[in-house]
Amino acid sequence: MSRALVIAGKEFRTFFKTPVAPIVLFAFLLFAGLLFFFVPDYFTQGQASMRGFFAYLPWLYLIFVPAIAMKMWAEERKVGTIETLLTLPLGEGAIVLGKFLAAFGLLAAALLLTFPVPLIVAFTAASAVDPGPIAGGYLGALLLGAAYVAMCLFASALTRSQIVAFIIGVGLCFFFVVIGVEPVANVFPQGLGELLKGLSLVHRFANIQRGVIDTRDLLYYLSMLTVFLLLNVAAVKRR
Amino acid sequence: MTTAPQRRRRSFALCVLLVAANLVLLNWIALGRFTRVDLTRDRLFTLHGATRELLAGLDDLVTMRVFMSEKKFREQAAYASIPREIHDLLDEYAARARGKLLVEYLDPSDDSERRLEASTAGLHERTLQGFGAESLVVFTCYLGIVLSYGGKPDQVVEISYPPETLEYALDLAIARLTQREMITIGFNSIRPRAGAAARAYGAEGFDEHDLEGDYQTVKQNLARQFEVERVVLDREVPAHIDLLVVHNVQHLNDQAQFYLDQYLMHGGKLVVLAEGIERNRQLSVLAARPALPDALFARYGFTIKRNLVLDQQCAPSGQGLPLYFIPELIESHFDPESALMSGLKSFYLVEASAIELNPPGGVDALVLARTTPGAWAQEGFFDTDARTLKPPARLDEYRQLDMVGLLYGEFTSFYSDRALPEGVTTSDRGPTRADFERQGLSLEEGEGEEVAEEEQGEEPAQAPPEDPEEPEAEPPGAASVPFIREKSPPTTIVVIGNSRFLCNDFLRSVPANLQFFWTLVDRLTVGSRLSEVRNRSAAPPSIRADLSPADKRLVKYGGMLGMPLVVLVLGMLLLVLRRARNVTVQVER
Repeated sequence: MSRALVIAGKEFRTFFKTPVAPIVLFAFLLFAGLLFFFVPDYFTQGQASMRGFFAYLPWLYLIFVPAIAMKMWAEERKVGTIETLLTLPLGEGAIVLGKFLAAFGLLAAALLLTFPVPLIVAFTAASAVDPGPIAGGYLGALLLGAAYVAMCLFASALTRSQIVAFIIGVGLCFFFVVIGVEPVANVFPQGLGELLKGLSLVHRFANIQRGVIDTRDLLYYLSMLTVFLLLNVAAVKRR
Repeated sequence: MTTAPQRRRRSFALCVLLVAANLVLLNWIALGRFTRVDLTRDRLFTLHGATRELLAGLDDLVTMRVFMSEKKFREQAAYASIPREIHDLLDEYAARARGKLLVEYLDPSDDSERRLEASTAGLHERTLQGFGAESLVVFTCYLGIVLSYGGKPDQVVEISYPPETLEYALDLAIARLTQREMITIGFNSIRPRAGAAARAYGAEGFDEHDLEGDYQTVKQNLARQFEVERVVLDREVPAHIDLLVVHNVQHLNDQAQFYLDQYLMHGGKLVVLAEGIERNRQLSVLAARPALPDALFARYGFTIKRNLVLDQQCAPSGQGLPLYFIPELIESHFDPESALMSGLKSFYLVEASAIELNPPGGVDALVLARTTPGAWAQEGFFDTDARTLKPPARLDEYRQLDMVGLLYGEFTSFYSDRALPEGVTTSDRGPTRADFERQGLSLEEGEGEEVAEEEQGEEPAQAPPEDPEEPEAEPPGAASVPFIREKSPPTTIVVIGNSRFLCNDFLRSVPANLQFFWTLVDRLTVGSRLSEVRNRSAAPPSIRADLSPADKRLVKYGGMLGMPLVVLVLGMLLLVLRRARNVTVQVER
């Protein structure tokens, strides 16, 4: 774990060595705010709630997370540093975990920087806001983000082109989002549609967002993480 | 011969398959065994404490027959989760009831006997809309629960979708089945009267607010938990009335006031719904009410003001309420200590007047709900034209106004120091010791015990409910009131400066108004916590009304641009500093 943390620290600092991290964070916060306050207008809805904020997150992540993760393996391949990295006495697992923690750390930082939003909701509310769904929403957003990061990291490990990694990452995440959308699930025969819905990231996120932490949802996210991190290790070893 | 890269690809594919299988297997196992942590403030997704108490208190077996077309629901993705949700909830019910609840699942879809059983119990097939492979499909199904207990008539609960209110509906049905005595809520009624006055207030032959007319929704809902009946105040209020709602106040004549007074003096609980203004339906304008029993109300310690209360914290568009600053009373201005208001978030009063509490000695007063400080009151001339109405320009016109109040204590009769109205009669329920003492009489042997018992709150034998429409035979022993009660035992009056908020139109669009009133009735009578189950709501609070357009713009643009700009500036600053340091290091080298 300590070896993974060393990698994570190094990777996290790398984000801030170029203007990429500030620009990505700026874009994420700007669009999150824009969608929440203006689409539709926050005040015309008449309710002081963060539901709208969390409802947009899976779609916002679709661009934001692949943009963070696309370079993590693809760049190493392109520049040729992957050989050096893999020859270090760290083990592929620790390297994959380290890269995952770095990208997840940036995502967590982005979420942390949205703290003015709940404060604004509380300020504009006529009576006390229930903190449960907000806490649940943030926990769900972290779990959802972790699953996205694992998938996009795996996508990055498959190619040396950042653009291709980005496209594969978006496609993979989009698949796990869209299978939970009602009209899509209904296209499939009964049973299969329900199974697909159960596998959807958004469906599980909606459960946690209500403020209910269910072990089934936690297990789902943990198994998604495990699977895609293992696939990532396999993809790294493959080459 | 396979090459090394081919072998690697195969093993990679195998690895992918294995982990995918692992994913599916793990989640399938977890479906049956799970725990949940409910983070919501009111524990919205957990069985409520009141439900657990109710189930723990069952003394005999309750049977639930669940008529549910499970097969059909499982075929429809949109409804596929219903059976699981209902099974989860009822499993929890059965576990809490410790053997006193038997749940039986019946699918009548392909079974004519089951269909007959369902329709005999009062459950009928319903039609729902779902998605087919290519188009919308309509299908019929059964979704309801029949509850049986002892020899009592079955209770039927139709399950709505999504089944969010099922817990409360089941609790009500169980409470109704298992309670020993039915609570009766009376709504006062004036006799239909002819003439211009009646025409001004509504269709001739109806009260201003009528249980069969504009109060039908509140009646239907309360009837799920209580007996509800009209009480005409031209005679004594029947002894089985546990709570009297006085909502037709405009023509309470002397006789009606006397019977109301004596009902209170016998320990009856009152809820007064009255505003000091009235809408003339022909002219569609508001005017101050000339005929309110002000002296009677003043004796009990409250006054209904002749004003129209408006508030900047008001109904937004789309709520189905008139758009002229209809006050929204919100949680932060409720009395935090009162159990009567706990769990409530907000409600609206439509064309309401402020109240004033001036409790007499021996009576405590409590304001249960106030407007926000952004409220004002119109007096004399009432303008409700949404096109022209504006909040007052002068700041000193804004003030917090009392809208709902509670008086508790021993009230003195309005007739303790004045002549009784002509023609009033009461059945002799027996005088209290205080009555004797007040009138300088001594008790005969044995009489005192009866009186003492009565003073401890024991009601005399209840007369069977009477039909208020039928003229009543003169009760034996009825005389020209040998004793009137001059002092009440400790009892409660709740005053609300509005009666229109309970009308059908508003209850349909604002369920919170029904929640408020139902909670009030529930807690004044049964004192149960069941209303807490109903009041649990995932609805978020409304937006503050005192924010100016400039404030709103600041909030929106500040919220959108503030943090991104801070991050961008700090990020760039960090980069510049880093580069400057690198340049310095290179120069030093």
